[in-house]
Amino acid sequence: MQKREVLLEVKNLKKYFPVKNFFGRKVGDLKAVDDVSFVIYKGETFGLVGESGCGKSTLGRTILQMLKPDAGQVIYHGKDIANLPKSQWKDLREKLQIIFQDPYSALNPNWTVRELISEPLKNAGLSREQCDTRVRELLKLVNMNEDDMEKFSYEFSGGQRQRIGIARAVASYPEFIFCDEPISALDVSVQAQVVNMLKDLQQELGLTYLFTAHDLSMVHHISDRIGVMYLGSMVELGKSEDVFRDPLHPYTRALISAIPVADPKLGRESSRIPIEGELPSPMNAPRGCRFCTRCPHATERCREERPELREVADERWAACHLL
Amino acid sequence: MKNRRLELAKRTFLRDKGMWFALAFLLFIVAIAIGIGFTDADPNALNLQKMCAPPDSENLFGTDELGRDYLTRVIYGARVSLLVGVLAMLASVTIGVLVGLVAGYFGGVVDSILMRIVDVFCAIPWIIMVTVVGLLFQKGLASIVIVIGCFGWMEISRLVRTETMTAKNREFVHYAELIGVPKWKIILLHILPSIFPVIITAATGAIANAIMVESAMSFLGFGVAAPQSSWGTLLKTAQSTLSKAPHMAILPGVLIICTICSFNKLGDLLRLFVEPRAMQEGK
Amino acid sequence: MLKYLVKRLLQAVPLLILITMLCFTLINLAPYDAMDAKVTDKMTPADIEQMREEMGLNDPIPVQYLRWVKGLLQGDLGQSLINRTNIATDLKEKIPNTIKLVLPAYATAFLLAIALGLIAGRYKNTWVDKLINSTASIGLSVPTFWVALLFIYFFGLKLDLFPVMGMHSLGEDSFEDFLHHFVLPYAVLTIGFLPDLVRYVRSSTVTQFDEEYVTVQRAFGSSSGTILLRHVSKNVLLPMITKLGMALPMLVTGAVITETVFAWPGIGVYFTTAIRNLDYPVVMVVLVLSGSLVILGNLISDILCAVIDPRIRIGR
Repeated sequence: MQKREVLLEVKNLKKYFPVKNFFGRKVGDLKAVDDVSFVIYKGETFGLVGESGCGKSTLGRTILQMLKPDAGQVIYHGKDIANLPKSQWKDLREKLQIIFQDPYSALNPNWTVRELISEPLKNAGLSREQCDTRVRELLKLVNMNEDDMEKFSYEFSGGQRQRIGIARAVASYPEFIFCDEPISALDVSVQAQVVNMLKDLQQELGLTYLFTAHDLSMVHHISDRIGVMYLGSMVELGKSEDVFRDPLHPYTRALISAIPVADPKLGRESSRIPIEGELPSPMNAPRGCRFCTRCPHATERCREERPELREVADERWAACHLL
Repeated sequence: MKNRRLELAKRTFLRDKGMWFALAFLLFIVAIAIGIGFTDADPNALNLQKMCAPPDSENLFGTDELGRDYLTRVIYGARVSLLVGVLAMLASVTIGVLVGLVAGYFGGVVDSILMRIVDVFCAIPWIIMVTVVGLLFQKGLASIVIVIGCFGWMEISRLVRTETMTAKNREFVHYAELIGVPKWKIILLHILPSIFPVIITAATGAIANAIMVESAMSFLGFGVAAPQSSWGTLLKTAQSTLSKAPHMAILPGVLIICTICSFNKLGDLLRLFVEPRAMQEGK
Repeated sequence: MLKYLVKRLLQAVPLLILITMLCFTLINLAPYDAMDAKVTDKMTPADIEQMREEMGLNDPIPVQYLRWVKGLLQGDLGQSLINRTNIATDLKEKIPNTIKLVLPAYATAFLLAIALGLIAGRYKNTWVDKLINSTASIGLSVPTFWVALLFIYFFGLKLDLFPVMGMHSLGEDSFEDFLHHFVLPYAVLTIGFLPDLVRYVRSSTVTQFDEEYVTVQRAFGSSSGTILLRHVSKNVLLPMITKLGMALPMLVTGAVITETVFAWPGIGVYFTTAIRNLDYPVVMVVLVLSGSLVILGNLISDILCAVIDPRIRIGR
């Protein structure tokens, strides 16, 4: 594969939420994103998987600077946007967009479709006529009717709303879109529709996605590369094909073995690996490997020493002492 | 969603006779209060031959201690009471919404400071605060409005603050923040419209409250001064002439009760808009 | 818990200071001061000036404020500017009078409200409930002083059953005489307190009856009466206790209007007279007193809340 262009580089990113006791004193940190580093290449879809509460959404939002990181860098076009003065931020802002999980909460119910999609355009300084023209283009792009412009978002189904959200996200010609579980809240029947639309738009507009979802097979389907998160840190990273065919980290193996198979007669090569125990609270993650409390292969070393994410094979990264 | 709210409210409205009465009464009293200005009824026309007269065919509700037609005076009193109610409501809603929005949206230190101020205002019983501040101003309509307005906003600001904090965490607000929409625009275009129903509900309550406070103040002698008179002032006079002219105590009191009751009822209806769940309680 | 208590008390101090400063400033902003009430035609401007100096009215406001706070801390509440009486002595006389009126009235309203509210909530949407609930709704809109006027007219003037002024007849000091004077203001005040409390009890009863545990009890075959007495009433009454904390300041300021109408010699009349006369030392003391009671009342109700309901965490 030829040398790919790095679009975004995340370096040692940390986002902690202070936890207070009921007297209002800080008693600790919830380490939602704990020292995560990776790169996203231009034009790819980077899938992020993990249980809910593992910090996927926080990671994405911290990259977009919707949440202020506590430490680390996010390098975009050679600039560290995590520590950028506000004045230089402005132009970059429209290039980084988001699609939300809940298409109900993501769209102001008091606004019409025209107003919703125009919001980023207006903010970029377009005139009303320019906005309207662009909104028409965008509606066509997401297979919606021009007549829908004056309707309110509550008059649409979940899938249609999500398409309005997509239209809004691509309105100002972004480069990077964080798709924060864009299909989780949708009916299964429209999930594929939305995913395919996202793929098509990626081709057409040269977009780069950071994509999160619960549904592993959907992530498999859309992603070029995959990162697996567990308790705020990245435990495995690699090409989508590789990770799914041959998961390295015990956690990834367990996750992938849990994907249901459509035809029971086919069975699966490896039987299901159950994950024992409960997900520890991110507030007091184990001292050593975060997964050691639930890992069937955990050794003394795993409990004492935290494994780094390292390249264990070509384009394969994992954080495990046993590899 | 919106349609259903409207429908729910409409259904309740049609079914609830009290609601009809409330609305009809409010329209009626406002119409009369405005309308009397166009007639030649004079609230200050003296008739010293006929002081404290009980109701008869000429003076439907009798006359007061100076022989003035009582019905005319009560209707002119309605003007003052309603005007004070509406203006004071506008004042307290404006302050309350402003403080609540700013505290709820910005949070942190700003929130702490503003909420401490609210605590201070709340720690002083209204009757005391209102009378003390009432001293600052020359007696008159404007000062009453300022006084009641300035001390009726705390509840509204707490309510608006809570609602703002909820609205602030909606994803569409996060989105506007992401793309760098200026904060004042976010507040004005996203947050204010989302909490608007709450504001309207609070406003009807504030009118009722203001009318009540005004009447109490006037009754204690800290309110509207002669020759202007509100319902409260009329009742104050009625107290001193109670043995001679008990009829003077009835009409203003009944009107106060009906007006406040109607505004409260209206607030109940509007509350259905805000939280359709409240509907279930009525079933 | 102790730490929390101390912290809450310490938080209350700046609040109190703020309140006093606010009031002091407000009173000094008034376009006239205590002298205006004392000046008579016979005084020369020099006399007036001398009196002002004597009373310390010519000092800068911060000096006046500090002098006043210092006195307060030493337990000296100051003197009334108008009749030169000691405020502490006045309060010792007036506060019990107010309490004698407010405490029985609030207690009656409280108990009555619990009974009526539980009944209304239990028989939701029957005629009993409709009667109680709509009466309470209308009651909320009725000015206390208007009820007082009606009572004075009917029971005082028309039927001549009760006296309508004061706490005792002149020269009379018996308990029967007190009781005789007490009935009307007590009734008015109880009616004033009642509607809000009834609505509160009713709505929490209704909420409780919607809870799952009631459904479960019903499924077990418990009768409505048993559920009401054994389960619902407990959950309704516990939060009511916190209302008692909030009601603490009422002991001083809860009856200003009623006292005024009936010329009851309590804090209300004392205070309104002081306001009319710009007697700012008196006004200030009453303000601080009621402010502290509100803060104390909230504190007590928070603590009661935490003690009663283990689910409620104190603080934020």
